[in-house]
Amino acid sequence: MLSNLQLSRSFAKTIPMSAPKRTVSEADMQEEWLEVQAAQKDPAMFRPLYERYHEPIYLYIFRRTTDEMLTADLCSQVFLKAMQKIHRYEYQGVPFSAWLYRIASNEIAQHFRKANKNRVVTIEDAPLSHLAEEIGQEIPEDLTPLLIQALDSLKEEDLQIIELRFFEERPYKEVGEILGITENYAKVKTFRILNRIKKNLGE
Amino acid sequence: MRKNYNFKFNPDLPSKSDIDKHRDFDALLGQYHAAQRAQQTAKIRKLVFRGLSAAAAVALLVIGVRAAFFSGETVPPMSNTAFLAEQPFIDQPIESLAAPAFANFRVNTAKGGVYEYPSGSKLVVPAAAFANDYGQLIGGEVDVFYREMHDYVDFFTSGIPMRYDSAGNAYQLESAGMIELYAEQDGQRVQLAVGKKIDIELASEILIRADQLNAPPRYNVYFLDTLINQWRYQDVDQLQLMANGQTMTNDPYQKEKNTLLSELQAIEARKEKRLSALEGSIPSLVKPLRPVQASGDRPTLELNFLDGSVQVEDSRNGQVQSELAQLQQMYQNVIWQISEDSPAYDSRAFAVEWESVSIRPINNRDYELTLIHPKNQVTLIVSPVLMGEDYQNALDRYSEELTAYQKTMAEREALLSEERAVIIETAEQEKQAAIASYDETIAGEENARDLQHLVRHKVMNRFKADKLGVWNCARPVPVSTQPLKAKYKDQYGNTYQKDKMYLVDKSKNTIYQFYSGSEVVEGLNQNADNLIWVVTPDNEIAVLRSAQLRRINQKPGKPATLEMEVLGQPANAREAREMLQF
Repeated sequence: MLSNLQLSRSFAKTIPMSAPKRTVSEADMQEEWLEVQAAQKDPAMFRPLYERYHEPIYLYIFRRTTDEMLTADLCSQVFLKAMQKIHRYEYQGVPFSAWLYRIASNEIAQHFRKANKNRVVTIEDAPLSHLAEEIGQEIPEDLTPLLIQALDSLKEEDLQIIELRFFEERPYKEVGEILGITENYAKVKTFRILNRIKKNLGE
Repeated sequence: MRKNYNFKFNPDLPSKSDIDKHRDFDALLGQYHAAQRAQQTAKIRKLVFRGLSAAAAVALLVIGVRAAFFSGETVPPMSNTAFLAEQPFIDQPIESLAAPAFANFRVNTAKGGVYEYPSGSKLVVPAAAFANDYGQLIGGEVDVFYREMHDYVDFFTSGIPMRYDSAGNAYQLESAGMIELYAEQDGQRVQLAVGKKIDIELASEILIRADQLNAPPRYNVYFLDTLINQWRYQDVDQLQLMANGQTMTNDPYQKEKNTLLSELQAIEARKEKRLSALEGSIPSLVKPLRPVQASGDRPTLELNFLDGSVQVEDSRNGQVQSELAQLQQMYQNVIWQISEDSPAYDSRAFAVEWESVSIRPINNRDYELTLIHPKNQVTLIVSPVLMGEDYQNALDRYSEELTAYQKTMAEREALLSEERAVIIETAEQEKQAAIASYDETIAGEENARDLQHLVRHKVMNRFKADKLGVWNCARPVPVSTQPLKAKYKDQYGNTYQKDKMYLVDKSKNTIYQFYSGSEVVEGLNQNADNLIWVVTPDNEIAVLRSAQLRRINQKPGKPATLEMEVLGQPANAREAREMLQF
């Protein structure tokens, strides 16, 4: 499998970071806030939020477990927790989905901590190439094992940034929202992590 | 290669129809309602438990809030001390977590008993040790309940505070192990009888600097006085480091520390060998024994150690034999007086012709004398004494011998002291060099300076408990405080501004408690890993880890927002321990 991912020196150039592909408008967020307020009063009104976010949350969890039954179980836990805590939710100018992703992230971390297993990281060919492009120059011929090694050395919160930004191709704004940091800080962090990876590859 | 994550390449992602199979909002709503009903029941139970103690606090709070509201002034932040004073002194944070569990054993009050705990600890209960509330001794059997608390998770689940006030100064108790004891007869609590003590040997572990392994710091013994809600100093802990007792599970510096410890041990062994060779280069003299006068009212015996008629049990390579011979030569007419502590004997024993006699020393003064006959054997405790003029002559000779001994030993000390100091100083320099080399090896590791020199070591704490209750082998350390105006919130948006927070620092075996609204955090150590947590109203544990604490960027006058991670409600002590690992 690894041999399929070997990259040539043709990627060894600096290109601008990819442009955001998804955004949520202020009007959409305001509309969604009304739905949240309705769900705060009556749990049955949570249905439209559930229908909208079930699939993305399911996929988010699946990429971090690659186990269908476990994903279904965790996904159900995420929405149950969201319904139980929604009365404390306050609109802070970010999409409701960011709150759901953070709950999902916690549930996943808690599951792997309890099971005493390493968390799953899903790697696909195209996003890995994308990451390699971002890292830029001086990339060795046989990059993939080294890149995996560099990723394996990252702290959980740093790896999450790489996953969200490069493997799931989310805009910085959304990365920030999911991780509870500002868009700017997400950019700065990404820059630093890429530099660290580049340094590791160079050693 | 390190393996922190499980990388999966190009997995088949589920299709939309696969995902839709798991989409069922009605089932989720059903789960939600069931969980709400269960939570309501638990809350009602909790309210019944806490209702009475909370009533007083609520009254105070209402008065405080009303006063602030009507005066129109901002309420100043409450101090940690004021907040903690309003809390129950022993405050088990999650009632369902009754941990650590008590073990129990039954004691026959006529005989007492010895109880060995799986951890290696031992309790020796004397006979006639228990009394009722009126101080009257009780007979029959008594059930003794015992538990041990070793680390911050045990301190947390038990709710036992570690704050210690001494002469108006606040300290934190850093523990080498804590126990709790109580006893019952037929379900009724009983006390320890006046003057009775239970001998405790508590097997535990301490964190100790690698270079202090040969001279561990002093630990004391404290008793938790629940009448005045304070720890009270009782005694010095007879702490003993166990041989080969280093335990380094999960220590990130394990390899480097092992190397350092081997080097330090080698240096210590070299030092001892050199000192021993030095002491042997000028042999030490045997200190003359001061003669003792016969009391006159105790029976005496005559023994001859020069003709070989008495068999000497010599555990010191001939030294005992030569001491006894020397004693007889030095002090003519020495006789042996039967001690008051000697076992009871029949005076007719002295009319018997004994086949053999043996003697062995039991301390500096007394000997155990055994008179042996094929059909009988008598054991006596005896000590050498002199009578009348013999005693006076011996005393004069003793004075001369002692003066000569002291002069020779002073000359010997003068010859040896300089060289001894050089050996000790050299060893100290070698140790410092080994530590400097170790520091260099691990240089670059962040935020754990206080952990780098600590090793975990097994110890045995020995003390006597003269009361039943909570006993702590500990040493007081100053409480460090740091100003921090913080807003604690969790990932669900819940805030914790009027809550009891718990903090641990990996370099100290203790647990700090502070008030989230106080604008001061206690026990935070920037040179070690820390963990802060709170118990939510739903009995869930929410934690704040070192990484987030290090990122605090507080702007003047504005609170820093610290996001805690709710980990869930621990079903048992094991789950609480897992959640609080860091």
